Amino acid sequence: MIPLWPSTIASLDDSLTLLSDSLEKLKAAKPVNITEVIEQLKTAAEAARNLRALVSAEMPEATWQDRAELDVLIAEIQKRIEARHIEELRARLLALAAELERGTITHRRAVRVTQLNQLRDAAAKELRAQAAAPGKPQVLPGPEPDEWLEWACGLQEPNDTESLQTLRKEFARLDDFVANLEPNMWAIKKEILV
Amino acid sequence: MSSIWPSAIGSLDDSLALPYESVGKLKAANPVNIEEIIQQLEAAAESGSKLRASISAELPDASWQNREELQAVIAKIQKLEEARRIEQLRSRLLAVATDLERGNIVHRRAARVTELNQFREQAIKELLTQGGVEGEPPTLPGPEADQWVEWACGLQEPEDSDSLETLRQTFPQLDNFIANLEPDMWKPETPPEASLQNAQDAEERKKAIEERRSRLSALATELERGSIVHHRVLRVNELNYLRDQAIKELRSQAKLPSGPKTLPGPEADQWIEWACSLREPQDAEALQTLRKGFARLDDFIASLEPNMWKAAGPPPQTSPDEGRAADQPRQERAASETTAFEGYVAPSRPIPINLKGAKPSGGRDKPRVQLSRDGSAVSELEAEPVTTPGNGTPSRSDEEIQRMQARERELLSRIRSVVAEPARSFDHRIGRRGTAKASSAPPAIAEEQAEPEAIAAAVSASATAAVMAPEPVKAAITTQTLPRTTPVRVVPDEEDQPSVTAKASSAIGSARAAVSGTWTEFATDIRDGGVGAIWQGKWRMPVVGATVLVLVLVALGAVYWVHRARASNNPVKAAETAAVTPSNPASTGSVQPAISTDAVSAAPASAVKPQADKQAKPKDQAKEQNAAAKAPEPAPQPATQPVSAVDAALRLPQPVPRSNAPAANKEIAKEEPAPPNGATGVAGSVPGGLPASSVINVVKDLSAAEPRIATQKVSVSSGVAQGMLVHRVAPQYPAQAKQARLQGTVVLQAVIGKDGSVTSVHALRGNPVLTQAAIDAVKQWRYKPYALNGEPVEADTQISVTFSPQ
Repeated sequence: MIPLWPSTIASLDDSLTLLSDSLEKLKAAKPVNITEVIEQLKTAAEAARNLRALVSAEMPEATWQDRAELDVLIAEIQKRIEARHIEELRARLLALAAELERGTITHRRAVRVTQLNQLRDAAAKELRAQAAAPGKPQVLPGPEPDEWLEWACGLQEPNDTESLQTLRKEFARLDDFVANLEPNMWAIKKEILV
Repeated sequence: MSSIWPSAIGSLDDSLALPYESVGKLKAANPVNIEEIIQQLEAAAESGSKLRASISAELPDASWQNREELQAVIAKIQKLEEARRIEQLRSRLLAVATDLERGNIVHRRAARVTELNQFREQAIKELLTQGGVEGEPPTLPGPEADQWVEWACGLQEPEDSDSLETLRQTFPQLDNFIANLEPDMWKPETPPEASLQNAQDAEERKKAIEERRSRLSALATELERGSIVHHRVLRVNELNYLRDQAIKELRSQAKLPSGPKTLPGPEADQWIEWACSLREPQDAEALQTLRKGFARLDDFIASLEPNMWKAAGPPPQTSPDEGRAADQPRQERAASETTAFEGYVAPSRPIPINLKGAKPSGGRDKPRVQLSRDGSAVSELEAEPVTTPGNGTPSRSDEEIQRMQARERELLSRIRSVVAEPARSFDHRIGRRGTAKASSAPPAIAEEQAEPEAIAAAVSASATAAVMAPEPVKAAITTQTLPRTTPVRVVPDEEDQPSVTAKASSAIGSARAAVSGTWTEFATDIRDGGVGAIWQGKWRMPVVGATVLVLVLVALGAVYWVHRARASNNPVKAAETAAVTPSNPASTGSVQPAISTDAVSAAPASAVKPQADKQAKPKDQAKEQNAAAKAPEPAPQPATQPVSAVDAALRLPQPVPRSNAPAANKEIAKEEPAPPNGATGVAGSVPGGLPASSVINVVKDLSAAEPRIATQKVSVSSGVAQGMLVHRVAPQYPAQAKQARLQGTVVLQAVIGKDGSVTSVHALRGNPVLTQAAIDAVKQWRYKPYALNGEPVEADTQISVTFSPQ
């Protein structure tokens, strides 16, 4: 979820609450600090303007008349943002699987290279299975896929226990491959653009 | 509801409408015109401030936290305002009612005024009733109270149909009054502040007040200078009392700082004539004004008949000083008196003269002795309407009186010649007794009445005793014979007194000597020739004449008693008669002769002077001188000794030059019944006449006179008594009478004691059921003690108590 939404809406609601209190005092003919009320009004107007900008950013064609319609619109925008987020997670898993398949394992011993290739295939299969699973996929810790094996081979216990723990728990095959792979054993085939 | 609250609340709410709408827009993140909202917020703040100020003005201690509490506060204020508005409606109704009450209706027709006044009363009652109803009173259309009548009188149909319809439906009585009232009939009372709006008004007002003051003062002076004449002294004194009260009232009114009330009628010199001619109902308005503003003056005028008042003529040169204006007439009067005594100049009006032998009063209530045009003094006791200048023709009554006087003189001269000799020795004896102790003289005379010289002795003794009696006794005689409300002012007449006294004494001595000589001769003839000698020779005619005279007077006495009996049926006349007649019936016979002398007893010594001179000189002067030389004179009279009332009584009858005087004298004589003891005195004798029996009875009553004064009771009219009433207790309406709705008047005869309490009371007439309640109430009443000669005396009066279920 975009952090700007709640803060913007909260700012609007807070300023409107203060303004409403002042208006109630005015309605009861009670004395108020009119300058303060005007400031509250300006703050509320600014918050409203920000909210309108956010909505317009998500849904430029969106229109509404009141707070209820605005709330519906905001809910729709939030749904859209969530779906987008899941897709991004899936795409990341698939991108890492493709990265694993594209690299080459080098070692002085052929048995070891075969063993590591089997682990690589199992990890790629696990990532593709995770990305194909319904619902929200598991969040793979670490950077983007092209830097992910280097980041993962650099994890050390006990410093990176949390990330290692998540990796072992959600992506067990990927964790086995990364645990057996030394950074110098992995070589990425450079795509030669013709 | 007052308009301030909805407008203030509406203004606030209007100002807040846009901010509230903007808040909704902002909440939906919709765009708003921020500048416009700020303006609205500022307007809302201003409205709120005004609203707070308004609330604070109505309820300074009011407080609230929210709009609901504010609404409650405003509702409370609105209730207060509503109550105030209702109160204002009531106040307006009451103000219009008050304005109606204070204004005056003027119209040429009294009936119309009365009718309009009735309408006005009904309208006032209606306004007061409407103003007193529960809840909201009806709204009276039109302007404020002080302009309301004018506005209402200007309403016209159909232009003002709405107002007229409202008025007709809501205030029918008021509408009726206004419908009958024309604008020029209504005289609203000008509020003092309105009349003082500018200096010119104030000046005119001041001038008007000064005019009113001077008018009242002039009338007071006119009242003071004039004279009241009446043949009844009681009436004269009553009127004098009322006149004094009226004068006091006028002077006190004239001194009022706020200005006196307006006296209706013409100028002062014509005022009394005008006032005496006022009649109801034609002059009801003037009478009402007089009654309201000048109650005492009205009392006086109501009691005064036009012919009783003798104006003093053109006013003298008066000083502008008001204080001196009041005293001037008295000073003038004194000057006139001096002139009248010294030069016998006939004054243009009766002149009051101070008497001797009585206590000073210092007031107006003194017996007035009027000098007739020929200078002879006549007491106001016997005074009557004074003749107009030039009116000297004697009336029929005058002639009768003169005839009677002539007969009396003739008889007296004969008696004088008969009794001259025996009287000499008796005079001597009586003179000594009188000198020693006057009160011892009457018994001695009574013992000797059987003697032949009794009459002469009585004549001489009475004269001597009266002349020589100690001062208290003489005062008793004088006081007894004075009218009941006659405080006599004594001013020692040092200049006139010695000569008058000496001359009167000389005349008396001469008369006494003449009578003594005649009597001696008569006695000698009887002694020598027996009783039969009377019918022979010179004594026949005198004796027959005397007998006839006695019979005539007895007959007159009988006529008087009949008249008196009739008069006693008239309560007012009976009351007046009772004032002259002593209340003790047992003493009537002895007192009446004393009263018969009062006609002359009130005359001043100076008045005796000419009469004594006149009667002594023409006929018997030489004889008197001889008799005086032969007869031993009683003790010499001191030159300064005042001549008493009885001295004056000894003067011989002589004509009274005033035209109406005999009538007055006759009137007094009528009030005096003949002595029941058959005394030979001439009861009711003419003024100046000398009834022997009168003198005898005077002497007989000398000892009784003094105590009688102490127990003297006078009769006062119910009007006078009412004026003396200081504490009145309302009678309790008897339950029985109330149930039976009995009503009526109970007339009571009451005696007011010297202390002002009602000492005795009994019913004369009235419903017996109501009588006791009236008596019970009247017994608790308190009066101002009635004073005679400055001394409180008992007063007999009639009191009417009216019972009405209303």
